[in-house]
Amino acid sequence: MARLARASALSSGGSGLVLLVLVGLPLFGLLGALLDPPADPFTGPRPLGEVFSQAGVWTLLARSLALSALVALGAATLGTTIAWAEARWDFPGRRVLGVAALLPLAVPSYVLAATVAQGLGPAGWLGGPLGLSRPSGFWAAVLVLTVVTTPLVQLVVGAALARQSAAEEEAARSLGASPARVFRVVVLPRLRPALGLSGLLALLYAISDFGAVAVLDTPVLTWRLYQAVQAQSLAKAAVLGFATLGATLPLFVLARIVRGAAREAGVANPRPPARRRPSPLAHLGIYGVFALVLGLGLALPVLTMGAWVAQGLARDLPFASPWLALGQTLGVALVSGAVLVLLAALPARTVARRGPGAGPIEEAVFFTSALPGVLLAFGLMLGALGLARATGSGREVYAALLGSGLLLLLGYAGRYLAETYAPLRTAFGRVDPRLRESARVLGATPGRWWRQVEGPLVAPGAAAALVLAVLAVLKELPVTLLLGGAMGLQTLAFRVWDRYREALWHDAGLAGLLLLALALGAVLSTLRWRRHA
Amino acid sequence: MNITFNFMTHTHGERIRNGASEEPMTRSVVASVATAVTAPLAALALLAACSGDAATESGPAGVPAAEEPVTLTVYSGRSESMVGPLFARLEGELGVDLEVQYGDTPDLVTRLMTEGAESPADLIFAQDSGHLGALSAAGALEPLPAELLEQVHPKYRDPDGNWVGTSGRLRVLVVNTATVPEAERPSSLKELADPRWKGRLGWAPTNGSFQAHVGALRAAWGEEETRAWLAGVKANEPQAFPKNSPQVEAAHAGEIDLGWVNHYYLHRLQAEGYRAANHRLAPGDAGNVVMVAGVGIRKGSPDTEAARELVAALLSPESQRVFAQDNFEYPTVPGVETHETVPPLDPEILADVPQQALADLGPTRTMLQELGLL
Repeated sequence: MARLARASALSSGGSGLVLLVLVGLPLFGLLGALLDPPADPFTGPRPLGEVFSQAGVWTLLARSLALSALVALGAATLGTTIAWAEARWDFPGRRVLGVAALLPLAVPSYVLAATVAQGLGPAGWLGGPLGLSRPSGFWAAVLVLTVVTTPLVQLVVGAALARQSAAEEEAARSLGASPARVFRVVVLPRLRPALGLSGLLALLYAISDFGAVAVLDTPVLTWRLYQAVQAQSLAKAAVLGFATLGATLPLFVLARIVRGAAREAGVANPRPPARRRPSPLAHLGIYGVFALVLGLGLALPVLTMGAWVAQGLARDLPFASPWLALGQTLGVALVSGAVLVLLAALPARTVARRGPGAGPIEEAVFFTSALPGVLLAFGLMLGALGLARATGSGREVYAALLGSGLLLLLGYAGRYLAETYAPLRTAFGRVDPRLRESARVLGATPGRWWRQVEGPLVAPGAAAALVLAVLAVLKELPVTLLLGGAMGLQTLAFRVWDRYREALWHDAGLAGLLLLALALGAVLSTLRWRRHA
Repeated sequence: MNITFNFMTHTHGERIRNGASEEPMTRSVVASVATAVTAPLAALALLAACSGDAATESGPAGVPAAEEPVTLTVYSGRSESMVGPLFARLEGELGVDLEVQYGDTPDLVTRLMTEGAESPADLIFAQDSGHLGALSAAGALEPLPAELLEQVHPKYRDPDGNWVGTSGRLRVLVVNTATVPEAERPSSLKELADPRWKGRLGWAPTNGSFQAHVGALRAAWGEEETRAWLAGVKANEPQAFPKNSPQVEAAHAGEIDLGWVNHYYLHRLQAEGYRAANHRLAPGDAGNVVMVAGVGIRKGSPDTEAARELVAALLSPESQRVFAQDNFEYPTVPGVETHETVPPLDPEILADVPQQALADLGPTRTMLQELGLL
């Protein structure tokens, strides 16, 4: 048992170290920018108090919180509805629609926002004939972010539903409980961890998203923060960044309450309840939900970008060769995805085994993803600058940190640790402590234990984590732009941004469709894992 | 009991006895950490190397240099679509390695100022002169030699000689051709404050060109008049856009009747039956301002000689033709023709404002903030 104790101490220590670097370096850099702000070349230095009072922090904070709460609520409702219908109901097209509903996960929020703004706008292929006005602002952002986060909830809640057993529900019903009571007393408590986890992911996604709110010009923390960076006011950006981080703290408490004390141990051999045919009204409802999620989340971006490409072809506009960008995107996503899985496995294992400091480690993991990408990238850059200056040969060290890709990897790791962690945490949770005990009693070495028991048990979850991480990195923009430029990285996401800002719709459309194709491939490969789960 | 026993008797002997079983665990941790750090770095480096090769290969097959070629890092606020192919060609022609960090001009300026002496940048290629002016005023740029500066019209370069314009976009109005007939199109920017435009306008107050132009207006009209004009336009409830190009499409779609933009987006989007057109203001009007994209060398760059060669190459007739023909911009070096669809620009019709006025963004932003436009 000493080995066990030391192994978990090592694992806790390792997790702590990973989190310390991922959280510490950018925060160190940002704190520096806050305390000793670089002078604004246009207005000169300003006192911090003035920066704070002019930033309008409280209004922005309220709006960001409202946005993310609405998104989480919307995604939880839609995602749970889809997952429930998929698991419990029987209706034509159930399997195909269930899989298709996951696909919006592949659409980057800025791409969806751009296609919503353009396609549904007055000049758009759909908005024009329908006479719609330009979608922008708060509600448009709520809609876009809800659609892209719904599949996250569907995945996590769907997996939890698959582990539920009919026996408990039948027992409750046989004791005379109404269906509503069965749901409240039996089903819901088992779903709470999954709901809490996926709701938190949606919340964090929405509060730190910058793409959709930028395209739709929604005055929330992240968009104002980016504008502050653009206006050379890093101090203001840091103030808004810390406000974003501060805003997430109550969310953790909330998520804890939702998750409750329920543990997802589940039943050894779950026997899924029999599917039933929904009422005609429910039938209509579920098709409506699918139409919303698929229409907005998949059909609209694909058709809009397809229309852009078609227009470019019709007008004989030049398309840039996409192959190098495609290769770089795939390479970066696979490499960084693998690193993310390794990094996230440490805390996932620690927390699943209830090692020392499991609670704070888990909170810290989620905390990392609350830092918006722009700020994370600037924070890492500032932190690296600070470190490089301390060595005495600043320019070389700084160039090496950027040029080697180390900062880029740290950026991706910081940004997507939580998304990668979630499936790994569930996977390690499936390793029954009693199994470990038996293996130990039988004298299995840690290597053998891993090869024969833990590895195979964790593998499906690790595969899912890899897919989620790859998917996240594929779509990533601000970190890639700021920290990948020194390596000459020009990913498809970069190209979409580059072409979009120059209104070269046809080329943006091509890059966007290719990006979508890669991401769809990644999503479809989660399906195998879903069957395992 | 077992726990206590094992824990308490964890002596040297115990450690040796357990060694065999512990080793794989330790090794696997060390190995995974090592893999986590080195493998991806190697893979990423390989990727970057591939992209570098590809960029070099796309240039003409030059004679391989005997020594290591100079590497120049360029911070480019100009998009890859506009300058990427040009850079790839110049790499081959000049025999240098170009590392281009793309981004929005303001971000790159923030970055350059923050990085200070540690900045890897040798040059900054900015989308607008406002930010170059700020860098120049902050003493962050190396003075350029006169033979480079004198190649371009004085209106398209830094009076202090620290940056030079490489191409320009004229500020124009974009109008919906159906709802704004020729006779009703304004001859002065001032007319936009007229109530007859209420609910019909578009603008982009957060955009760099917009802010630089307001700086020019402050120089041309004075502070009070500019403020009154902005307030007047604001009272007309213009639709705010995050950037210029959507205004062109909005004008085409009839969402707005008139927008305030740079000239070149229209030429890209224009097709048969397009219902938006550019409209130029009267000669000398404060609305006739050119947004100059330009380049400067970072003070402290270790390769100023090679950097100057790159600046010279951007002013060469071949490069100027790329800006004019591929990007629909105005060349800054005289004698290069504009694209056939772009009406030529006589610098004499431009408003008489100094370049520094466009760089005076601090007071401009304060004014916009006070008016509730930012």
